[in-house]
Amino acid sequence: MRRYETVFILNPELPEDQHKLLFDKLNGLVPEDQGTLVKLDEWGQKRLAYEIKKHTRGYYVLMDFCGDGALVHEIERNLRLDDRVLKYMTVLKDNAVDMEALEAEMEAAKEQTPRPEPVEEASGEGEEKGDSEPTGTGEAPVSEADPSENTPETSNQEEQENGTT
Amino acid sequence: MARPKRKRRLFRRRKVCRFCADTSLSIDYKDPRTLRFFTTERGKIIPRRVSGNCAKHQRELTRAIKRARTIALMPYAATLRHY
Repeated sequence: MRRYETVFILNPELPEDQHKLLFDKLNGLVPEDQGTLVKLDEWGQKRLAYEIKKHTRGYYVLMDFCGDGALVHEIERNLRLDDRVLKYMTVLKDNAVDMEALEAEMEAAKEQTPRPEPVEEASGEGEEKGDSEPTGTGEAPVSEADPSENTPETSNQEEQENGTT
Repeated sequence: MARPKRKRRLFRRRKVCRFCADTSLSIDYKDPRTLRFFTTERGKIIPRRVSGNCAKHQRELTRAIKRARTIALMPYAATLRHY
């Protein structure tokens, strides 16, 4: 099994309750092809670097899952057909997934969620991300801290830039 | 006879690959703040001879920037500021 990561951008005008419907539909696809959903991470509204379908903002969602080509195909087909989705991209993260490491990682992620320690998690971020993926244990809390840390600052920066253009 | 060493007109600081020097830095397409260092204001990728990156990391960086562009985290072409 391979590990993939799909980022997709939703129409920013879409009401919140519609998000849930869409996510449920996508999550439902994963087990059908013997895949595992690792996490679904909502980055929230961000400024787009360029216009997509006349939109300057978009609601980013990251989907991290394991599966094979058929699953990716199915997910992409659904995203393509759905006109609430502005754009999507799937990236291969790992060619062979170690299920045990993955389970440990998901466990760790679950444990980490209720604990609000953004500072400590953020400090470890740099070392763990990137190449150290297969080790698993450290990766989950790291990527969790990542969007919460990134989103506000990035959007600020982008807004500033926008103001001066 | 050995030729006397010619003085270099310009003293260039030896550039070191930032990602090799600091292993805690990671290259990730989801992090446009870091990637922005390696693009011009126009959004073009800065070449290796200017940024001083090593081949391996420049390759990763290029890939990350291109991915970030695909998903609209970074611009393909940004407009310059008008004064």
